[in-house]
Amino acid sequence: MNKRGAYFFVIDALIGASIIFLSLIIIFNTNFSSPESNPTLRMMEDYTDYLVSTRVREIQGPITAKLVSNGNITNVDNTLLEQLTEFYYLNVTGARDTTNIMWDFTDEISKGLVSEQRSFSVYVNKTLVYEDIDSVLDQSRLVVNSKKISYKRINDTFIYGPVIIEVKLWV
Amino acid sequence: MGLIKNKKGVIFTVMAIVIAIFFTVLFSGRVEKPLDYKVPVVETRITVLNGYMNNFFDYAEVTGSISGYSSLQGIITDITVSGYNANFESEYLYCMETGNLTTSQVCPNMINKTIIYYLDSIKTLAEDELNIKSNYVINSISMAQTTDAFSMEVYINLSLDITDVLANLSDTRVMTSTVRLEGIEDPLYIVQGTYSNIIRKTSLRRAEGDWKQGDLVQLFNNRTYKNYKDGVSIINRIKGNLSANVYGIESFVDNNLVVYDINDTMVDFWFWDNVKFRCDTVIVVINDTIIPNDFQLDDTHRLMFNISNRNATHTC
Repeated sequence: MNKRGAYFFVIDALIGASIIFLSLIIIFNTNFSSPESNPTLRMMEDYTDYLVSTRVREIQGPITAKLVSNGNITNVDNTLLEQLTEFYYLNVTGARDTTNIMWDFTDEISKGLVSEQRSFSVYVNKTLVYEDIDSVLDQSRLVVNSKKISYKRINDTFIYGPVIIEVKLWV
Repeated sequence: MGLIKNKKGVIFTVMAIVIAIFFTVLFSGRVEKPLDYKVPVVETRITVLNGYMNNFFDYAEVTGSISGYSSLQGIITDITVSGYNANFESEYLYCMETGNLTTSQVCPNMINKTIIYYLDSIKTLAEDELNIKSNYVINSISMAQTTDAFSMEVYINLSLDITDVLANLSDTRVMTSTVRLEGIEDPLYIVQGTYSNIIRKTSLRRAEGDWKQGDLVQLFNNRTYKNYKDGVSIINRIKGNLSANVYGIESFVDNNLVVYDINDTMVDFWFWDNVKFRCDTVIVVINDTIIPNDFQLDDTHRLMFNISNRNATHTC
């Protein structure tokens, strides 16, 4: 009788210790997990910084090279943001239909910058100019967006803008 | 039966559960809201505010050039009606800021071209689209020609205050906008000439002493301008002050289009100012098959273009 009671106490103590131990493991594991939004947010910031600070001459790609050679890009010292703004300006003023140019250009300059698991779209002045969709925006678990002010000097007496360039990224 | 009666084991189990609940409650606060849980949001917002501040000043610099060039065109248009502008500096800057030459006189073609218009547009856009409230103050605007005969600098001393829930940012910077002085009509030709000439810098790049007779031909045919340290600067041409300036320029008058005599040189600021030279000592006729017959130059310019005496004849 006493021997069985001792076993019972030992097993009971082990059960109690296990409960405490498991609880602590769950608590601390939860504490160290990083929020899901951080990598997406950083990716978004990196992408928009890249658009702001990279010049066309730094892009090595067949589409950009062709746009330079056929005169659609006239100044390779434009930043990517300025170049997109210039394409958009040409489009809205009717000077040239640059819809496909904007799409192809954005596609090329964005290669490898946004992971395949994420979808993203680029808007100039609220007009969609490019999207790379992996999942539907309305059903996404997380959406982050970034807006940048952009403008492009056209000549000595005219500047186009300021306009907003918006990038949306979602998972 | 004995086990059921002995309740000590149950007490230990209950104690274990109580301790587990105690730790869970104690640490659950940290799990859900660590002290820095808002940091990425704050960081992102401040990055946006900083980005706007840099955008604003960069935009002010670019639009300073555009507004400055438009203002220059306005002044030139006014010169066609009113003659030289002796108060160029003050009226130019006032035009750039307000779109007026004076409190009672409008600066031509400055609608939606003033620096205030441009700065208001970016401020409004930031408020509407980025939810950033800001205010700017133009502390001062000044101008100077310090680097090149064919451009000048406009200095805009600008303060920007950004008010936001997360941070208030303020900065004051002096933006230097370069204004091109080409592509406008030469005021000297407008006021004192008989035909007009657009100021365009020659594509020839020559050091002092390297100019050739062929260069003179090109300058004459293209009606372009070259630097000349004893010439009249564009700003002085606007003011009607025809004294020499280190940023002086010169062009050559087309002798087919004007009436002249043996005492004239075709250097624009001397010809249009009716400066006469002693023909027996300085004026020569350039013998060149490309330049029109009887093109005259003073001896200083003949030497400048390395024209030999064999190709020059004194007018009398």
